[in-house]
Amino acid sequence: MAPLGPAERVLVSQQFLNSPHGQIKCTSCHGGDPNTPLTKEAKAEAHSAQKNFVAYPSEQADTYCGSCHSDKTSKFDNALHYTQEGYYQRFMVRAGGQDLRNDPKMAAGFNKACAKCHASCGQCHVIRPVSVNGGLEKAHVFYETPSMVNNCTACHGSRVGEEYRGLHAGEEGWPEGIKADVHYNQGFQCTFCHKGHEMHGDGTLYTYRYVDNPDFVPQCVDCHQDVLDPNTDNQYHKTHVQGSKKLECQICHSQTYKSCNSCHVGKGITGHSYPTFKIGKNYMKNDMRNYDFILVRHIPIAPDTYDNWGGSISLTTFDAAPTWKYATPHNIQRWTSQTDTTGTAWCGESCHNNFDKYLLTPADVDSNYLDAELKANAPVFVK
Amino acid sequence: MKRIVYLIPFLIAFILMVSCQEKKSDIAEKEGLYEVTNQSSCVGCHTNKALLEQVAEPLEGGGGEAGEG
Repeated sequence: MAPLGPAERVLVSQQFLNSPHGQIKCTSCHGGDPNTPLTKEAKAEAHSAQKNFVAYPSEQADTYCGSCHSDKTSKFDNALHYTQEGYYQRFMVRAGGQDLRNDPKMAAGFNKACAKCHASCGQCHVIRPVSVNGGLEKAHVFYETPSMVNNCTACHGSRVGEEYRGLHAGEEGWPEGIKADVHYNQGFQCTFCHKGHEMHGDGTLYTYRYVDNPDFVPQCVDCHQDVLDPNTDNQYHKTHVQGSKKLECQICHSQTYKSCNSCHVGKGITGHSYPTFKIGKNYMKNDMRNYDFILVRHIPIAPDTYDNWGGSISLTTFDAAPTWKYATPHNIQRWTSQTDTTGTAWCGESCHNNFDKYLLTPADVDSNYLDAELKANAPVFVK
Repeated sequence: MKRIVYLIPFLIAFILMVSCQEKKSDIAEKEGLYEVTNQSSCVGCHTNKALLEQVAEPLEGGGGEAGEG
């Protein structure tokens, strides 16, 4: 994604001025002082806190957006993109239930390293995300559907965006012939599966993105209902989806995807991201995810990851959650290394003959944090 | 005639007020910082790309993709 230039970031178009939002006085949303002379000092003053300048009005969505869009803002207050509650809660799981928000140093570390992934209304509907320095995406024109490249994958870029668009093709260490997601090739943008109501929430303060709410969990079978047809001719689906041992769809239909080691907070497990394909036990089985086996990826967490923040909370219950967790790859293909049986002796050879490579075992954990990783991933190891 | 005589001081005051007022574009010219623009309002600046190119400051980092997911 090419960054916006300094002028482009703040340029306002006539199209915006003609739009409904353009009928509102600039100062109604942004404050500031419009009656200053054209000097550098005055420019700074016009955009200063003293003049009540507000760069990102939708950070206070109830105040600035709610008068017209209260149906959305009243719910979005509790949405995970806005609250980042998922981060806090996952931290608590590994920190013996302690909330990092109660420790000023931990809270400061979080605000510096993690809070930029918080999203407001504007970061999807008028500017690029602040994590990539923001800037008006369409010269201040508001848009209902976020841009896949400049909004969604501006944040969700390092895994989902690269995999979905097939950007690992030709990269060192990645398998030859890796392709973009079939849905991407069909022209589907993120919003085809991830609808507005999933993003805006329903007003419930969820604690994890793997919420047990069918409205918010895009399912392959929402479109591919034939997979569940008991009369299907597809023996793979009969055995592995409808059978007694259920596989997550991605196990057969994903390509190699990315795992991570080092986290950008500066401490903990080190090393570059790397391509993986690992099948683990479903450690979080519920009505929405009743598979027995899932694809897992390594996440960049270690017992000392947050030590540099200098707070008093440490990850005393680090092993309460796995470090190989749900992968949800976004690089689906009908024919993959697992499903392509060309030249093989029997229908399951491509997969079953590669169990040593595919199944997550204790040999796959990081040796620098061996004990912690072995304990944390015990529920996920297949053998 | 009397009415006109009474109005003269007001007219002079009005003319002086208008002519002595320093225009915002004059300030810009004097400072030599920005191109002259007719408006110093938000819209005047933010719709003028040439002006913004002179005054907008680049941010550190410069953008690109980020994120965990």
